[in-house]
Amino acid sequence: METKLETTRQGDGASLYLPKLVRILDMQTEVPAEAVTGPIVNFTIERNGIDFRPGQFFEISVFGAGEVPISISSPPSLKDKIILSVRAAGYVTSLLHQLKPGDYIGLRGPLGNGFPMEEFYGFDVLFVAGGIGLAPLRGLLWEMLFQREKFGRILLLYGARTPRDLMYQWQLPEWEEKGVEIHLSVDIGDGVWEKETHPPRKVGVVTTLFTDIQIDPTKTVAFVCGPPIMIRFALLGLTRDLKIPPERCIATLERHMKCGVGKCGHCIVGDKYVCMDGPVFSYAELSRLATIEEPSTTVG
Amino acid sequence: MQGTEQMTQLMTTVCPFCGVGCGLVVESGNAFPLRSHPITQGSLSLRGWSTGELLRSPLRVKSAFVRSPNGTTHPVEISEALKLIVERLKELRERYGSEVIGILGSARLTNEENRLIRQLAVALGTPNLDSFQRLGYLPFNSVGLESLEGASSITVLAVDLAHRHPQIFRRVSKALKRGVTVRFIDSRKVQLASMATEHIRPLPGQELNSLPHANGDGEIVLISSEIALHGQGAKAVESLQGRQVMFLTDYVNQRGMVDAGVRPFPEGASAYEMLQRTFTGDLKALLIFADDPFEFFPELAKEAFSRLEFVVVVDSVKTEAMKYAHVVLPGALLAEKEGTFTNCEGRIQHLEPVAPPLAGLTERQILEQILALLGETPEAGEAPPFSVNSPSIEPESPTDERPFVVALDSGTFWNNHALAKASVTVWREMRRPFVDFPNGYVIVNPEDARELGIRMFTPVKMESAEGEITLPANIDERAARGTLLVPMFLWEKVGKALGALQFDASMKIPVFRPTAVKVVL
Amino acid sequence: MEKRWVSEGNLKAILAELAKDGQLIAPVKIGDEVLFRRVSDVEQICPDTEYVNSFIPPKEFILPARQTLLSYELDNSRITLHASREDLPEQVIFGIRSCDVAGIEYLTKFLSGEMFGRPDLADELFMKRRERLTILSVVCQQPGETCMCVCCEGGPALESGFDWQLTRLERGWLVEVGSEKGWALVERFRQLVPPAPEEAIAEKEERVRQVVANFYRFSPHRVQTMAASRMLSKGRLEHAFWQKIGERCVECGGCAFVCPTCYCFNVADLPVEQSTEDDGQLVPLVPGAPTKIPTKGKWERIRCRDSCMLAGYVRHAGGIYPRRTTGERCLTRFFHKLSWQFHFRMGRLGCTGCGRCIITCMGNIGISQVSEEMVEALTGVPAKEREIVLRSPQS
Repeated sequence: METKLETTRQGDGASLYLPKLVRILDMQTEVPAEAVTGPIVNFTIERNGIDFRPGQFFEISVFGAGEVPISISSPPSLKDKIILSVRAAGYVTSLLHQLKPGDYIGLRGPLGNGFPMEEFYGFDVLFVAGGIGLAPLRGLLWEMLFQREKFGRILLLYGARTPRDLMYQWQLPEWEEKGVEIHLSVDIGDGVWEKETHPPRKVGVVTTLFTDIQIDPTKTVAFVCGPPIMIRFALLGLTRDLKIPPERCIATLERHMKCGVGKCGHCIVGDKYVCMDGPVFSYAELSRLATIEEPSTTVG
Repeated sequence: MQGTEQMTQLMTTVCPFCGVGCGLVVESGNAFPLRSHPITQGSLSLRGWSTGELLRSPLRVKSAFVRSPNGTTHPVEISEALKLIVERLKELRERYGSEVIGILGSARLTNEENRLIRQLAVALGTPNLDSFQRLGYLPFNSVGLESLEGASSITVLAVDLAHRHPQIFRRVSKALKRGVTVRFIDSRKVQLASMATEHIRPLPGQELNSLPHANGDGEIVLISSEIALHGQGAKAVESLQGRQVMFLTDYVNQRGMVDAGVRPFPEGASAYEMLQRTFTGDLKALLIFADDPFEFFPELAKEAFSRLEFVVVVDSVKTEAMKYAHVVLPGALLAEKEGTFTNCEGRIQHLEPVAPPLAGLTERQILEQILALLGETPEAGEAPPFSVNSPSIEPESPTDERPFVVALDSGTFWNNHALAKASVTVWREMRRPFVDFPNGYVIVNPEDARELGIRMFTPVKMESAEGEITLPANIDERAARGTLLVPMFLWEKVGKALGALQFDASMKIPVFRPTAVKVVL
Repeated sequence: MEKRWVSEGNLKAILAELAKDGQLIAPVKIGDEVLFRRVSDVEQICPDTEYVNSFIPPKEFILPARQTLLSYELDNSRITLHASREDLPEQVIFGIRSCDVAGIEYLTKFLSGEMFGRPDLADELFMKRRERLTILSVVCQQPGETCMCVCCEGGPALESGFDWQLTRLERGWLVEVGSEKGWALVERFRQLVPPAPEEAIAEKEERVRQVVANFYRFSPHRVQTMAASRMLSKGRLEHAFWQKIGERCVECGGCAFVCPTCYCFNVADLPVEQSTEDDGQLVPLVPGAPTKIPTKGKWERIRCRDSCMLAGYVRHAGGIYPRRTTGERCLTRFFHKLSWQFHFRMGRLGCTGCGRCIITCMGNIGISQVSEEMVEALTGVPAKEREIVLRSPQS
């Protein structure tokens, strides 16, 4: 489809907020609408020479709707594209899902601090993911697989609400082949899923998988992402049960953001701006933040 | 930015939302409170702060258009539109008689405009004149705000002040600090409840039974539409005879509108009845000035409007009613007008425009021109005094079989307000119930929820003597034990399903009668 | 740095010259209200002895309540994006008070990206306006009814943040020059702004000392900001304390809108005309927004003033509210304004003591009331009776 684009970029204008125009190359349903956390769609978009680190995010503009922060689900070493896994959680993302390959979106970034990776060369890596939390972690995991020899064991503990909510199931065999030890869990089984034996799995929250693995805490780094409650319990389990020191338990926070560049204040937690000081934080930093902000109950 | 010739002028106007009527200044299109205004005193609610935004909201109506029978719209010159309107009205009058025409006025319009609306009703010869914004209004000779400073005790009857009338909350809160006794009579646990000296929690609809005896002097009673919307309007007027009362109007010029005579003629249909009369063919045309039946009765309005032969809507912001209008004319905001309005105290204030009307004319000019085209300038006549002689509608009490009472929570009342939807920040706050609870909700007390095993979003089926409805649970201590609260925007749906929606003949308004239900899970 | 002096008459002459280009902003009194406006005639300027401060904070001139960030048009497959560009001329603001100057300094440190060490992320719209603003502040010699700059390192006189800081003396004014721009102005009016004699400098110091001493001795509005800051920073106040404070908040947003250091904003894509793409399935984010992907239309991405006290400010998609109660949001606000943690990041306390939030708060939980209640909660010493009687807009 022929698309004519015109962007007038003016140097002393608000270029901090001006997105680049990027084309959607492909869209694939990752989690169907009927699943609890669905629908989640993988958007493959043009790379256009943009460089980024795993753990960073982009502010994606849906023209006519608004802008939302989306974490990057593909590794920098995947040269010709960028993959974003987006859940239709609200107004802008629901309209994003109505677009088609060939349509254009706006992109600002990469933003945020990204995961520390190079400093953990030689370490064993433990990923603990819940639901759509696997999306930002996948970028890091996949990048590590591009540099597989630089890391020791890589383990993935992944849990979701139901079997249909598990993401990237089609990619698991490829990861296993590259030496990732995978354990799965679902909160609610369907009678069929739990009968399969490979990868090893159980019905329960993802932290119940901790008892199924043995790691050496002195040379393991853990990366966590998922819903807030899950992150809290996972970090607790990692430090208390698996004895990994808090500086090596690293989480990435998904927060409501607007500008993404540390100006509007919407993402502030304690004294941190999640879009600038994060979204990646160690457990040590998060514990400090928790003393400032009281946790609150949520709607639903 | 200001031109230097305006150096000695402050561009002031009034907040167009609640009936307290805070004066504010608009600088460079943004609203700020006036420090020296006796009502504002340097504070505005979020809605007041958004007044400037309304001037250039994307929901502004910018031009006139007509809708053809096949549904398509096309722009039209205002003069042409006016001629069309008058022609059609004359035609309808010829064919069916003038009682088939109904007119809705507005609390968002000035006193002068409301008077012209009444004149129009007389000129057209129709007794069907009212406004949906009269819902819940009670006639009282109000005391002034300063009286709150000198009150020895304040009784607040069934109103969530912090959300509905923050300026009043502010004064009550100050009074509390001074040691004044504040008695809060409301089943709900809202902000004022924990601060008040006494929180009395009768069942919804039964608040008047808990009124303390009139102690002579110094006591001020604050009351709002919530009592009337539960069916106790007439009883309230009667019970509060001889007391110092402030009726907190919900809309900026609700008081002025009613005083100007925009209310049912004795022989005419009230706003709700007008919709009902479309079904019998007794009402065929509706002229709507800055009002929107869809705000209150989306289902009934949809049915009614599809039966109307001629609908004219004049408004400054786009409303649902416009989607059914045959002619739409652009109106102006209060901020763009010269005129007077009457706030909840009964204080009449003069307005000057801070900006010219967006489409170049105001409702006043439109009305004057219609009257001119009709060739009549009748005397508007005095509106008969508000007589409240029918009994109120009594609330149901819980029984063994039906131990819960369903009632309204008007704290969320502003959700459907046409102007609230026109501001970015206000709408962001107001849309929350719609997106947090896309299937609606009913508020359940946490202890009741625990006992019944209800969690957030659990479907709660409520069965009354007349019907049933199921809504997801929203657990909040706001609701007292034994009560189930529905937000205002669901009152039609729930009211119809449970038989709670009834017509209060004394006030000539539909009300939600608190209804006993049993909960089935 | 050498200080300067200017006579009353010469100051007027300088202002008159600056006003000629139409870019002099100064306080103007209309009725009982004081506000900053562009003046063309120096006679319109309200003398500093007749006002304490405006109610509308002068941050409006560099961070207006609403700005367009960019705009775009959709025309089927064609997207046209325009970055917003403001061509504002140089402006001079005279008569601004130290609390607001400190506020502007705070905003500049933040919006320039300096706080994060990221000048590449400077907010250009703000920086352009800031760079084109010359600040001629006037030191207060009488506190207003709710003023507490003395308790917040916000005045009555400052060490930096201004281009000129003027102090009215018995004769004439002391001019303290705080920047290159200020020196350029001195150069421009060299004859009118000679070096200040020693006595003038001493007089200014004495006057400021007197103002501060009087404030501490007589003002009922002394606030234990530092004690409150300490308690807040150490997280020593309980959840229940904040719930009680939050009870009085009506979520009007006023405190953020009048505060000289508040910068939070909301970003929204606002359609220029109400969209016709509406299938009613989604609840639009802003008025007039489409509920299905539009193919045609014009939009502006605007930013508008926002407040962390509003529930919708922290709403996460799906209806999750990390700070669900007003009490929790009060904690967030006061933490941002008074904590060491933010003081450290920003280089100064988040409050400059202008006193506007105290006037505008409907629930009587402005910064001074809450600071005092914090101290009372932890020490048991009752907060002083703080009857804010607003007799007149300024003292």
